[in-house]
Amino acid sequence: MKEKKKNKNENQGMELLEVSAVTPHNRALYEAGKMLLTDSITTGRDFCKFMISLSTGAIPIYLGLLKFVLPEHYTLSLQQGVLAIIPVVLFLIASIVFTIGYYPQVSQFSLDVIDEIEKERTRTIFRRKKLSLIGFSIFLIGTVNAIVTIIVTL
Amino acid sequence: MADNSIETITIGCPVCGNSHLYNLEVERSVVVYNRLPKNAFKERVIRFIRLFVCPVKQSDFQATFILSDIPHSPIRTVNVLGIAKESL
Repeated sequence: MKEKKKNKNENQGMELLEVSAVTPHNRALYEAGKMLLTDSITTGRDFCKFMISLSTGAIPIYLGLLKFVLPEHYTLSLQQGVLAIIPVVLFLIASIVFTIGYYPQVSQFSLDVIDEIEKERTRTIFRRKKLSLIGFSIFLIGTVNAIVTIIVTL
Repeated sequence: MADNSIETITIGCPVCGNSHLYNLEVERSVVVYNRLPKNAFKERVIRFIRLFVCPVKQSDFQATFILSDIPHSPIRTVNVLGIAKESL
């Protein structure tokens, strides 16, 4: 008769409570985890791509609004012109930062070495995160500046 | 500071019916006792649910197990490394 093998551990302090098929809830969490792991690298890139369009698109919108609120044939003084152009410059800088974030990276790793893949993946994600934060902060400052400029002009 | 140890566990596989030996990596923090009051750390039992892969059927199953903290070295996490060499 075949001896029934029991679940056991070889270390003090570890005790096996239950062994079963993966529950539907845990299966769903596992699939969600796989998606997080595989999609996280493209999420940052897609965000940078989206923000490039948003930052560059904000420039004509702002200039259009400024032209709309200013009286016709009104000429800005040098100081007014410099203040009015600040949001445009900030939007431009933000789009450049997002472009750097979207820019292709060069790296070398071996598919046989899991640690190298994980290290490279983490490096890419953190690099894009840093650039996205910097770019988004500049974009927000530019947006606030643009709103204030338009309100003051009114 | 972290202290990692490799421990093994034998599990009766619900997928194929055989027993498999798995390697687990237990990550523990190293607590400097002098910085904590004496009653700050109590021995505790932690419950983990981890997914394991049956090497015969290549299908996964889950196992729930409990680990006791070693005093002054609380467990941070447990990672499943895979089938232990001895069981191959």
